[in-house]
Order: sequence, then structure tokens, then C-alpha cells
Amino acid sequence: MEELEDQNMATVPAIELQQVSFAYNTTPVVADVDLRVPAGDFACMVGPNGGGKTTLLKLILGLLRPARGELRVLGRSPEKVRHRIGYVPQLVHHDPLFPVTVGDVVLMGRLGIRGRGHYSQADRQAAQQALAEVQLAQMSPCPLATLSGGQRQRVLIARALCGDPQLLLLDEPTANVDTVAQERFFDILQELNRRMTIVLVSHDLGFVSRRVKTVICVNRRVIVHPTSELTGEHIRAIYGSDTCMIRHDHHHRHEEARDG
Amino acid sequence: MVEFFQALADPDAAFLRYAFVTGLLASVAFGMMGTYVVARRISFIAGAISHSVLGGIGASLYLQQVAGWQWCHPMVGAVFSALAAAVIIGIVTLRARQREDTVIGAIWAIGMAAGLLFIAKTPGYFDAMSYLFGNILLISRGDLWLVLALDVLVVVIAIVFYNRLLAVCFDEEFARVRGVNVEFYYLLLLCLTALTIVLLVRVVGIVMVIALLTLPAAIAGQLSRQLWQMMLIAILLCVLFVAVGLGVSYAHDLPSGPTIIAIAGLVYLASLALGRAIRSRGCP
Repeated sequence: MEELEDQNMATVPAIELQQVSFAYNTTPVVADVDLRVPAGDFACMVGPNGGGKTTLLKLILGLLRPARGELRVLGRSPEKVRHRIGYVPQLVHHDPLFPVTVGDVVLMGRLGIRGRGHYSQADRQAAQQALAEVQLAQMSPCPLATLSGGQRQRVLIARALCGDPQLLLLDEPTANVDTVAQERFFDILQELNRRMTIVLVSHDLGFVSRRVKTVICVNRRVIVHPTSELTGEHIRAIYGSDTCMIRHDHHHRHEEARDG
Repeated sequence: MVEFFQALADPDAAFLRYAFVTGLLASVAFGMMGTYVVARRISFIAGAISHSVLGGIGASLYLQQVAGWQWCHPMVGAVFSALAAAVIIGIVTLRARQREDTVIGAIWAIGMAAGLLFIAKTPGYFDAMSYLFGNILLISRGDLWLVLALDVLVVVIAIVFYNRLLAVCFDEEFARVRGVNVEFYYLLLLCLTALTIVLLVRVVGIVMVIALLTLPAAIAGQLSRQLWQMMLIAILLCVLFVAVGLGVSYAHDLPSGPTIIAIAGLVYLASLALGRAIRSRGCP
């Protein structure tokens, strides 16, 4: 049974939307979206503000329900595969003074795994392992407030990872994080992409396009491009006007003591 | 202070003993729920709940006197109105996010208005001041059992659901993605806060009870790294403030509520100066 399911996972697309529409009250946010993200993809959703990127992400997470259309995540409805989805929200959602340690936050990723309210030894081990994966193993007992923005972003990834997801969804992960931390962040994501599908939302296409396999352009409708085909034409088509694209051909070599 | 301890043992000063024991028992619930209130930043909601309690107290006094419902003790009215305010505010904040502050403010004031109107129309003399600012003479032996029962309820629920409440308070959206019933836990949090507020309304009063809920937790927050540490420290501080406050008020013939709150406020201001240094020791 388990084996059969695993086999399925390789062939079933990670995300599949057919003619999906969603509206807040009467304002349509996404309309007639067809989207297929194959298993193992590393995709970035880009588009103008208010274009529906976050709405699409929330639909995939099961936080919103489509008004029309068919939506399947890992071959099933989002509610049924919650435990296989890892979610990394925007950093700005959190109260920086909230009294939690790094370890506490990561453990939250184990909630709902077996439906009980208390964490087992296995949960704690999974949390510690996830922290090691984002190179923060030593930080477990530290208050979240003492970490830098880049480190906090990695804590949120560890929280998503400790549920052992097959699909990782990230909302604006590079906002408010400096360039060095961003590079490091994408190194970690590329490593994770070996074993899970990754979809991230970003407004910063110039930076991201070098690292991802597919770009999903969202502006009420959706157009998918492999990054190799991406040109200024596509960008203009989706943003509606000239957009400044910056090439990053070399790695920055600044060292930040705090982030080391 | 010696006189205070002698007075505690004095059989003629039973009211002081009841207030003291009530304060100590309620401190446990206050430290725990105060921590959730401060961490989740819902002090304003807790303020509205506590003020709405006057509506319930007024209504039950009126019903006791006019309708002859003797079972309708002011504590019954207080519990009922606090829970009603918590549920209304909870549903409004969950459903319609834009105007929640207006609704909270309205419940705050309407509760007070209703209470004062009921008290005005109740035959006999009832001093609204003693409910607004606290009066330890109002506490009787039977109340101790009520406080103890509510205490046990609040503590058991707050411990059993600790991990889920922590997750809901820290990151509601993530908790929802993990399949946690966020609405249920948020309403549970508000209802437990409402019950806790009722415990000490008569010791420190409706107007100031919110300070005893939030100040110990706010001070504890300066010193702790984790929510449960914050709870333990807040409980100890609450015990300290109630005990010292009652002692000082007895020794100097001061009203108990303001004395307790003034002490808590002074310690809070002092803690702002030392806080961060203690909390982040040993980490970069």
C-alpha cells in the first residue's frame, strides 16, 4: 500500500489546476487557471502585486476553496494531503517579541501529524534534524528574537521540513533578507529540490530566474515558462509594462559575521 | 507587615483571609491566561470583556431584587456576561476583520452602560464603585470554592492544549495549514480569559483587573525565552503583587485594588530597564 502510494507520487503531478477561478466578494482574483506543476519541479510564481500570487498559494494550501474548477495537490484535495505539504509564510507575519525559542517554532511543524497535542521524542528528533539541515542546529534553545532575518527565514524552512513534506510552498521568502542570506537560502532550496517539489512566490524575478526550473507568471491568468525560454517579451506581457531585469552573473562575496 | 499577618489569623477579619486566599488561588489562572493574552496581543479584547462584566453584575442584582431570582448571584451574571462578550468578540474578529476594534469598543462601553442602568433601577443601595474599583469586603467563603473550581478548569485546559494554543498564538495561518482548528482554539482562549477575569473582579475591580492580568505576564515576558517560563514567572509575580498589595493596603488603610495595581505597575516599569539583557544571555 505504502509502496503503491510512493509510486503514484512520482507520476502524479505535484499540483494540478483545471479552470480554477476565485473571487473575493465580486472581484475576481484568479480566473480560469490551468496549471500543472510536475513532481520534482522547482517553480517560481511571479507577477504584479494584487495579481493573485498569494491567492493561488492559499488555494493550493487549502486555506481558500476555489469558486469554480478542479484543484488537486499530490493527486488529492489539499485538505487530504495537508501532512505532505510544507509551508513557509512571509517573515513579516510574526511578532518579533513573541516568547518562543527556535526549537519551539520548528516543533510546530509536527502539529497534526498524529492528531495528538503533545510532542514525542520522535517529534523532537525530527525538529533537531530539520534545524541541522538549514545549518542552525546549535540555535535550538535561543529565542527567535535574537536571530537575524536570514536565520529566521531558515527557521521557518526547518519548521516546514520537520513534517517531512513532498511539496514545499514558500511565500516571498527573500523579502527583507539581504543578498548574502538569499544566496545561501537558495543553496539550501536547491539541495532540498532533490527530494521534493518546490514552489515559491517572489516579486524579484531577476534574482530568482537563475535558480529555478520553471517560472509561473500570474496576473489573474497564468502562463508557465521554462526559465531557459524566458525573455523580456514574456515579462512585458505579464506585467504590462517595461520591467527592469537585472542579471546576477557573479556571486557576491560579502561575509556577514552574524549569518556565518 | 507583621500586623497584616496577625490580621490574617484574626477570626474577626475573615474577609481579609478570603481576599488573600482568593488572590493567591486566582494568581495561577492569571499568570497562565495573562501570558496568552500578552503573547497573542489581545489585551484590548480582555479589557472589553472585563468591562462588560458590569452589565452581568447589574443585571443579576436587578433580577435578584425585582424578579426575585435568588439564585442569580452577581458572580453568575459576571460569568455569563464575560463569556457572552468573549464569544461575540471572538466571532466578530474571526469573521469580519476590518471593524473588530469598533465592536470591541462598543461591547466595552455597552456593558458598562447596561450595568449602571440596572444598578440605578435596582431597589436598595448598591455601590457601583465597589465593583468598578474592587472591594475585598464583597468576598465570602462560598466564593473561594467558585474561584478554586474555575482555577482548576482554566489550568487543566491551558496545560492540555498548550502546544496548540502556542501554535495558534504564534502563527495562526501556519496552524491552520497543519490542520489545527484555529477558530475553536481562539474562542477557547477568549472564554478562558473571560473566566479568569471574573475570578478577581471583586479584589481589584473591573477597571483595573486587566492590569493584573497583563502586567505580571508583560514583566515575565522580559525575562523568559519560552511561553511556559513566562507563565511560571507571571504566576509568581501575581502572587507577590496580590500579597504585598493587600499587606500594604491593610497597613496604610488604602484601597486594595489600586494598591495592588500600583505595585505591579512600578515593577513593570523597572523591568523594562533590565529585560532584554537577561533574556538573550548566551545567544548571539
